[in-house]
Amino acid sequence: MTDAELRNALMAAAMRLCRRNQAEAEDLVQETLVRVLHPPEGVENVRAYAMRCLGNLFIDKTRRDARRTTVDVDALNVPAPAPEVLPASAAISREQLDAALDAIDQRNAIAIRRSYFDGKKYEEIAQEQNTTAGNIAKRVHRGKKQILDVLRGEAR
Amino acid sequence: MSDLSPCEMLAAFVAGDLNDAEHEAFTQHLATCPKCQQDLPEMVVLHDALLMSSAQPAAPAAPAAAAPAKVIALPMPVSRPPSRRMPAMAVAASVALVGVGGSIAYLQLRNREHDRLLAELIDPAERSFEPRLTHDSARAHRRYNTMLSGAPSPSREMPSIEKLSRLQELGDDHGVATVWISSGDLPRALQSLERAGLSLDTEADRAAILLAQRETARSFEMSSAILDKAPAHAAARWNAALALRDLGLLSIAEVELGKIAAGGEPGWSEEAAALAAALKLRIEERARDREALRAAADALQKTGELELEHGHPHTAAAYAREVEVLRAAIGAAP
Repeated sequence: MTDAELRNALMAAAMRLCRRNQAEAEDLVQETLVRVLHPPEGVENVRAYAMRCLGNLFIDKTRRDARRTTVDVDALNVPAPAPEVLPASAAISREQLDAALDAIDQRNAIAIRRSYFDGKKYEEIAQEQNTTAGNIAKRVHRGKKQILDVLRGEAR
Repeated sequence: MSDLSPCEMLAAFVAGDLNDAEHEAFTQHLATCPKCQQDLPEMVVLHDALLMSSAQPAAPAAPAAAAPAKVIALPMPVSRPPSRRMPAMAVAASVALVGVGGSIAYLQLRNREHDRLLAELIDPAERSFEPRLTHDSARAHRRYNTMLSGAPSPSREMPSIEKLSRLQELGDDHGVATVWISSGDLPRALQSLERAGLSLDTEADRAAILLAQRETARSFEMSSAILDKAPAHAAARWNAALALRDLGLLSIAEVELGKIAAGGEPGWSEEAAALAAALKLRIEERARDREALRAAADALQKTGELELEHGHPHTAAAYAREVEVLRAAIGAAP
């Protein structure tokens, strides 16, 4: 993977998080790349590490923005997610993704496989599954949440 | 997506599938939901993994040894036992790093954080400030970018206040001062230097700031005082040479820069040589100007007419002044 590929992938992810606010997304990517320059020991995959950094930086930003605009005292007191001194990094392969997909609700798994692996649009999958595109979207999103839980070894 | 619970919208948010109103609503939820805050970075990783998988064939049903090496890292909290259904995850979870060696690890971490902050705050390739600074982060030569020099401008990136305050917490006021100087905020830099305490190095940085503030003579005095105590002080030598140049003492400056160039310090040596070469040109130019002026003055005395060859527009004012002086000296009428 080249630096440009990493940058593009990060930019795409940042644009989704920042709702196409390009300036914000660029700041986020820039800050992420700076961190990726000096990854802590134990990082085995720079792309995944970078994505995680991007997510963490986005959370920091969201919390900062909220602190700036909110007057809700309770909102100010939300504890920060446990700080990661060194991100414990393990790896999932495509194989592990497949295993996780086998372990979740199969309607959700099918929606994810058809959408991501086969590159089908929600509308196309909806026709196959005899439902609406909105439902397929929900299955995809619920399924991804379940995959995370499975990967963490949590019960669904 | 309206019938999804707020937390269930996380995946849609990360995938960019929410409309503006939903995006806004979820952003507000995110600011106050520790669970979603914890999950979001992992969801970003998962989404990226799924996107990458779309370009790959499904994993073969063959033995695990044949599995493709392409893996992505996903953090695995170790607090819960891995699911029996997912033996692969047991291995994954065991890879999680466990902190050992308490305080040593902590110190290393602090050092690493310190180095990382500096790397983030200071441009590794270019410097916007011609004088030489003394902090470790400024020791290695970086190309001087004249386009970035001068007073702070809106186009210049402000250093991150958060990172700077963290740097200060880590006790490196001298580093903070260096960052402020690099970003053109000299008053803040002086405050940080004050906190950093008195040393030859902080004094040398003050001399560098004076140079940028066009307090050239004072700057030279300070650098000279440092060189009395530490004749090899690299920053003081550099800044003294620049001060001599700015004071118009071109020949002495050229000699001093030549000495620095001969020192052979990577980068600094080359820049000093280039500065010395530029000074040599200016000295020659000045000599030519004097010669032209002398010839003009001779002609003025003989013919009563002033004929000047217009060589260098930037010296026209100097010409005019010197001609006035000459006229007064030789008592010629204008």
